[in-house]
Amino acid sequence: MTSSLKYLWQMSALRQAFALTLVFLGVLVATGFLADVSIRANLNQTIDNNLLTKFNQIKADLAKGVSYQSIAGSYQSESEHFSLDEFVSFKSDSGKIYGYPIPDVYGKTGFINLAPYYFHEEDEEETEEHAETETSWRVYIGTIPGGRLAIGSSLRARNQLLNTLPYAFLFSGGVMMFITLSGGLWFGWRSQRRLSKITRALDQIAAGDLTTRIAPSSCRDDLDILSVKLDETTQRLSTTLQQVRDLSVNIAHDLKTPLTRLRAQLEQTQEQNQKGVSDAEGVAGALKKTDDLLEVFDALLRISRVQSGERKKQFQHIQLADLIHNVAEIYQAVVEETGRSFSVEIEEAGSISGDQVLLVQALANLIENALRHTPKEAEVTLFVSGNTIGLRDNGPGIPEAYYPRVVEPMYRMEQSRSTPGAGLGLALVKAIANLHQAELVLSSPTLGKGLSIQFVFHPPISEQLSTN
Amino acid sequence: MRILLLEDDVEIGTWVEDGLSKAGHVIDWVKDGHDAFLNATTRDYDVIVLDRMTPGLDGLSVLKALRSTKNAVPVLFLTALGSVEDRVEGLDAGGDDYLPKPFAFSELLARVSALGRRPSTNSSETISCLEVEKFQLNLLKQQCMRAGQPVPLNAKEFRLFETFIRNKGRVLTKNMLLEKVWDMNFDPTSSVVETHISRLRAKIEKPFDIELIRTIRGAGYILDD
Repeated sequence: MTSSLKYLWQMSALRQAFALTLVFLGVLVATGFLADVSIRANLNQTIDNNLLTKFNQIKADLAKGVSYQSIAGSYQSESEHFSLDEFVSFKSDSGKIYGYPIPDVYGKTGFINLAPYYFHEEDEEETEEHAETETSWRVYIGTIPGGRLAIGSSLRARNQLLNTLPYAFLFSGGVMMFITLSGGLWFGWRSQRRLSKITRALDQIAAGDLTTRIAPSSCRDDLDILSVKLDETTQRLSTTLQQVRDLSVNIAHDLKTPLTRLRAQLEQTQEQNQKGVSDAEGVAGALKKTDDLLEVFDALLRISRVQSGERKKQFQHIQLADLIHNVAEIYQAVVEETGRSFSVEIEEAGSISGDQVLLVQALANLIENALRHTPKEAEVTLFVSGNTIGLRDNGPGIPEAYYPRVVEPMYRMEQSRSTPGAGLGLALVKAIANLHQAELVLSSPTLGKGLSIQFVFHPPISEQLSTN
Repeated sequence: MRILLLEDDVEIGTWVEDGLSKAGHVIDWVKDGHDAFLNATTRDYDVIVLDRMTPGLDGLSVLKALRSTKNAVPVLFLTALGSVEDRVEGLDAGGDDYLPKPFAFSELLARVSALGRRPSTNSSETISCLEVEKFQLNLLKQQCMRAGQPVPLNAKEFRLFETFIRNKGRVLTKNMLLEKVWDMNFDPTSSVVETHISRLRAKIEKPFDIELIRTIRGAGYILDD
């Protein structure tokens, strides 16, 4: 019970409705009070004015010579009824009373209130019915020629009106409260249902189920937009996590093989040692294998460092032609030494903001890849054209379907498993491209033959603006 | 040479101490940054080798404290933090060289030796002409002459030759050459260094039938005094 109450209380819409209702009630009470005061004053004023007018009228009539009796008689006829609304009562200087018999208040002057007072024939019994019709009176007393006149008006109508006023306010307030509270409950329940759907989904995601989606049926309001955003975030998280998982599995797999080889080598060396033969070659082999393993770790660390984006802080202005010349100076001899031909193409070279060291390394990786995967007589071309730099060869190339895969960390195509390397060269190139917000485009320069890998840099914002 | 080594890992410390001792150096090995600072300020060393991350005071703080006392002894950093940023930080703080772990011992030995024999003054920076054998390198004109005859070297070959002459008598490892000549702090799998050295040899040794640059297997290259 308390928990369901607590649950109700947690609905923000209901709480808002509740707060609004409270405010509304406060306003209602205040206006009710003000209305009561002003209406009461207004009614009293009207009654008093009425009484004064009548008093003056009678006074004038009397002055004209109309008798007490006839004036009293004109009221008397109505006095048969209990629901008498007005009365007149005279007391002559001689003490004789005409008209209505009322308690002896003739000595007073001006307006007075008379307590509930019921006039009845002496033989008539006071019944409950009478009591109900009892009413207070507003009375004006003044001097008239030859005596005193009291003229009264019933306050019944006024009191009835004033009594119904609070009920009217109470009723409208009640209806209002009912509508806002039930509305709040309804909206609260509705949004709570959607919120708990989101909460459940988040719980599942927190528990590790990244396939969970909130999938709102429509996109109307902020909650739907929030849901869509959450779904997108989950999707991205899921993709990233999958990549990380793939990567760690690949690392574990790919390192197992060289570690096994290393172990075998060491065991062999140990055996030789036990036989008393020193196996210098075995030790050198083991060292080489260890270095290869360390290189893999080094490459992985390099990639993650580049991915962290920290080096963006050190970006400098780079002339792409200089960059290409620099790399060509390092590698021309190296490539030619292997029997392949090396050439450089420079065409309207632009400039970018970037990290010289990393870009040299990226191009170096591309060249080393080409050296590894092309036949001895291949042609390797380093080129720059506008904001694009890259490397092209006329080797066997790779099928287009593999383009997206080969830049993934530790991905190696079956046929290249026999060549050394850990499949991290292109992943580093890709990371460096991403750091520079450059597109890494793989293509085949001559229909199905050869491979071209290029960085397409986007011109700096300032240049984009000036050309527009 | 007298060398101060700050290294908290016992296995690596023992390995480095043994190796350097066998190479004829005297080693003081401490495992705590405070001890390193104390030793460095109370004794004279030719080279100090500092591990970046050590208990007490870390290597970088030791170096900063040392340099603030106007102590100019050459310092080599050893570190598992191999990124360029760490390297720059270390060199900015007054370090003279930087060697990321893991490393081959020959690499450490070559770098320590290079640091130890570095001339105390930086006069070499202002020289405009270097000489070895009958070669003359004009650093301003980037020109190489031998006995009055020009020897055509391209920019990188010139820089490679210059680096050897400047480090005459010291072993230069592959990595040291990559850093000094090509500004590459990664190890290319292809034979960049070997290729360029053989091209340089073809220009400065073959025509004159001499041998200048010697290959030291498993260590690097040396231009003998």
